[in-house]
Amino acid sequence: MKKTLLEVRDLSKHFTLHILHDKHVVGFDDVSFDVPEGAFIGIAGASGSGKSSLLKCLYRTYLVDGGSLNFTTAGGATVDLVTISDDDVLDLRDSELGYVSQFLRPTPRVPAIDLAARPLTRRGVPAAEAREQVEEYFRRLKLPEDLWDGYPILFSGGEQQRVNLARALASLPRLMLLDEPTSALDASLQREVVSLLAEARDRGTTMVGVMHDTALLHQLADEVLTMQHGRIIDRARPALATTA
Amino acid sequence: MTITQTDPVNAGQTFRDTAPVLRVENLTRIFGPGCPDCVARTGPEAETNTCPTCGSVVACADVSFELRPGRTIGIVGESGSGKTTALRCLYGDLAPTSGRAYLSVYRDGERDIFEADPQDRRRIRNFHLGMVYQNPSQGLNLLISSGGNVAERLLAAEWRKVAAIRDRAAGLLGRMEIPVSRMDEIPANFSGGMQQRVQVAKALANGPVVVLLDEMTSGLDVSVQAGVLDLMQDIQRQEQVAMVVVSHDLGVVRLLCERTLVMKNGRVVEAGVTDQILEDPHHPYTQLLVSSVNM
Ligand SMILES: Nc1ncnc2c1ncn2[C@@H]1O[C@H](COP(=O)(O)OP(=O)(O)OP(=O)(O)O)[C@@H](O)[C@H]1O
Ligand SMILES: [Mg+2]
Ligand SMILES: [Zn+2]
Repeated sequence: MKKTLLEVRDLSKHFTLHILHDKHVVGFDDVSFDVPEGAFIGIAGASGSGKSSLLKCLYRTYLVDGGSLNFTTAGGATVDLVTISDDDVLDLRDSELGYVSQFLRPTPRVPAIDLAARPLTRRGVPAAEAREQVEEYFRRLKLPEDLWDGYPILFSGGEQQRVNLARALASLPRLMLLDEPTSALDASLQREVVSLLAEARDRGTTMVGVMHDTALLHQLADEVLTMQHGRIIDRARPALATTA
Repeated sequence: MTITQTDPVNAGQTFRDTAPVLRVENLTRIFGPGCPDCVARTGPEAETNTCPTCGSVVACADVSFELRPGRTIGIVGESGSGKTTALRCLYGDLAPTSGRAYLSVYRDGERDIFEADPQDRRRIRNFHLGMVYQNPSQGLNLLISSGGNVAERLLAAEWRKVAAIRDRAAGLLGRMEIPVSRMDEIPANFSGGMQQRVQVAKALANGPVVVLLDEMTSGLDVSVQAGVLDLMQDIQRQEQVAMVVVSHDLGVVRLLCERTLVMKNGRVVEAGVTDQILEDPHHPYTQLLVSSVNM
């Protein structure tokens, strides 16, 4: 029996928009699931069903309104991502948590390769070594070499997405959160991403990924949760054989 | 093609050094005579920082936060919300009305720096803190050379060897992209962006644990701002210095700060990881602030 890396329990997220006369918006409610170590948990569902909000709550980009997120660190300690301090969240992001956002928000005037190498250098990996690791991913993701030193703010959506993926993959976090990581890529690149993610998982990275492409999701995921109107309405386990 | 990556999944320590370099508790500064109502009758609910009973200005009240080594925290808020006052109390330009602050380098972080005797207080400021003012004329002596400005700071931190002082000044100014050929020139001749870069060199000179920066890019053209912010990011990557960045510009905070405090009418109304403040602001004022800029 695999250990559980993250236990999501009764998580809920609502928004109160004070500037719109305290309008109340439901993000999601009562979401519970387990993320076993080494698993890929897929999240499917229509636009607006709460998928991105859920991922952002796991990363503390959004604050939850209720529930718990018990996470087991590399050292074996269990911490609740809902209640640990902001400083501890930042440390966790540096050391164990990765997030591939739906849209890259590139830091201005930082070359693609440095941007992608940053999580590694922040962990103390020497710059040259970090760049080398990133370059391997850039190559695999067929990012044209003349863009490596370019500014991602000027890149196309698909190019930005590849920088984003290389950044997360190179740092190989223990838990990687992926929000539509292939939405701007063509079919052959999507296949490459699927194999890169499968390789990352083989090397020990656990993943929670939102993808609206259910075919891709079923290739990768050990369990697919489907959300609708902020609730999980279906849990499916694709054939285990596809994990190979 | 296979990835030849070694296994960094077990990245060693999950949590870094968790002891703060700076801890601020309930920092309060009131301008005026003060009365028992001052704090209760001011703040975001009252929508004023002026006490209706006695007319005193509660510039900041109950400001509390911790800062860990090498981290940067931002303080944003509208004009007059108390950002500068809080910073100047920490640096020792102003005495707080009440509250406590602890620095890891001062008596193991166990003694309130506001209670330190004047000699210790001066030592803390000269050896362990750095400050960059919004207005370069406050942080620099514009009529002595830029090298001299940095040297002044080093002398205050009891550097004695002339050659070492000159080297350190040249090194820091060089890093801030002030050409060596201009080291002997007075900053009064420099552009605003250059003056701010000299201020940063000066603020870093003594190897401080915390640098306090007040609206350092506010007076600059957008393109000049960009250059200064790039340099600040380099400094963050290369030095283990913690920073408190005061700005009314959310763009600056997004670029430089991992955590953010939002102030209004002298109070902290919201604190969080910067991306949370920007993407999931809770306080009505923060929502207004975030929605009124296009980022
Ligand atoms: N020396 C002083 N005497 C009286 N009132 C003061 C003094 N210094 C500041 N104040 C008042 O304290 C309040 C906070 O001022 P402060 O300069 O800290 O604001 P700030 O947040 O830095 O504003 P800005 O964004 O405009 O720089 C203001 O109402 C200001 O008028
Ligand atoms: Mg100010
Ligand atoms: Zn009063």
